[in-house]
Amino acid sequence: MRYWALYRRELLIEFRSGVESLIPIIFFLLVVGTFVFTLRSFTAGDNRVIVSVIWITTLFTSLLSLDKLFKRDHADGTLAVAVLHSDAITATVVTKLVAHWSVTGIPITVLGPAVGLLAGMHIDHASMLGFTLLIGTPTITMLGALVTALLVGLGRGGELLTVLVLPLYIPILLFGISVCHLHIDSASYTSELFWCFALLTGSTTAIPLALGPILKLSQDS
Amino acid sequence: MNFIPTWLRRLASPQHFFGDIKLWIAWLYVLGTIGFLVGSVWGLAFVPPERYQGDSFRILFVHAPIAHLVQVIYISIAIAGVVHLVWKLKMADIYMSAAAPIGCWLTVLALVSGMIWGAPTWGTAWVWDARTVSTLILFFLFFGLIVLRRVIPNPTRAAAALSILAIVGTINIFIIKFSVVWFKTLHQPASIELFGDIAIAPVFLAPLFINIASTYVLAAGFILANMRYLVAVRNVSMTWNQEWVQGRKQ
Repeated sequence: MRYWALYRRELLIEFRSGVESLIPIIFFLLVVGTFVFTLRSFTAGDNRVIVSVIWITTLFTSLLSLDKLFKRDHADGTLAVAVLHSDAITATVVTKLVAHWSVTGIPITVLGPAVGLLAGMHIDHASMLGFTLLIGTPTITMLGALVTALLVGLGRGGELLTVLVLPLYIPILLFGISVCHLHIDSASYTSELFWCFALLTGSTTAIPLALGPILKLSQDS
Repeated sequence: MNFIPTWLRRLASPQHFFGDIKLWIAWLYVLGTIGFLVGSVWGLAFVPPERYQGDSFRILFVHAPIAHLVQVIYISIAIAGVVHLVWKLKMADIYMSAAAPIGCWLTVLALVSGMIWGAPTWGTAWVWDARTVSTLILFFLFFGLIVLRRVIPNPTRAAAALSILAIVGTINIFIIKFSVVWFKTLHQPASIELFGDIAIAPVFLAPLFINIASTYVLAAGFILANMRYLVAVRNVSMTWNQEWVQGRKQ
């Protein structure tokens, strides 16, 4: 029950910040829109290019929103209290991450295929894109949270986070995009899809366990 | 832990490491340089030209050992990370900090020598395949390690962060390296495999292996020298360190 309350608290904080909470979504739409507009204007455009654009913009959007993942809790001391309850820290962090994914991952999973449809993708290909994003966005949240936790309280975010996180995003990006590309080519994509699932399960099980000790260390300095 | 000999166990202490390792570094430098010169001269002058690539293949004797070495260095950093997380060994932290910049530079060398080789033989300096991409990502990962060490002021926290990033990065590199091989569209058959099928004529193998061994030895020398420097820098306030400085001044 208390985790449900924590989840609701996280969402409430997010929604009460009003228009500000929409910035990552607007960023996503703006970047994808600009890309699709320019690509459609100058070349015939290719659905595979649209898939890559939507996936890569998803990564950038996650970078944008990761910055504030632990920032507020660290500033007002909530994180220090959470770390003190060392037996509950993993569950607390998972709740926070689920809440974070609900406000960033789910909208992108819905909007990505929608933008794809507007850009002229076939409905089958767009729904496959949505499916890979559904598998990919939790993985992205987990990997991003790992590196964000390493940098909590340093007052450094932005480009440092980008340099550290983007190389770690490459496997899920490769597999997510290749599933969509193979699907567009009507080729077999089963092994790539299983790899997406492997990355999802691997990151969602291992990373929360590491986050507790990492956050604890961040409170020492 | 009685199976570890005393001379090796002494190296875990910064003070003894600082004193003992100097001779090691000198020997590694001498052996590595001689080996590298022998292997390179042999490969450049005494090996027949390759059937298809002519003389341009001779960069193999520099490129292949380095490209292989950088992966080994990154994995060794991750192993040091595990050692640091499990046993809290101070030297493991110093190893990670010392090996990362050397690995980063060697990765640049591997990429540049690969481009120089690729330009005449492939007709292009760059191909987006498993090897080139994983080496490029390796460069970014090395860079990330160096930067992370610099931005975290607390040494305990920096060491833990470095360990975790190195371990995750190694998993990452393995996935990228093997995943691209499985991609039907990007697959490019490997021409040189060190382990498994050796697709190189025996004539070329001797200088190649000499150079691989010497780059290992040289890199070990570089890393140990960098470790010795870091040991000195991080123990500035120690008595043994100040005594050594006093001894140098006289």
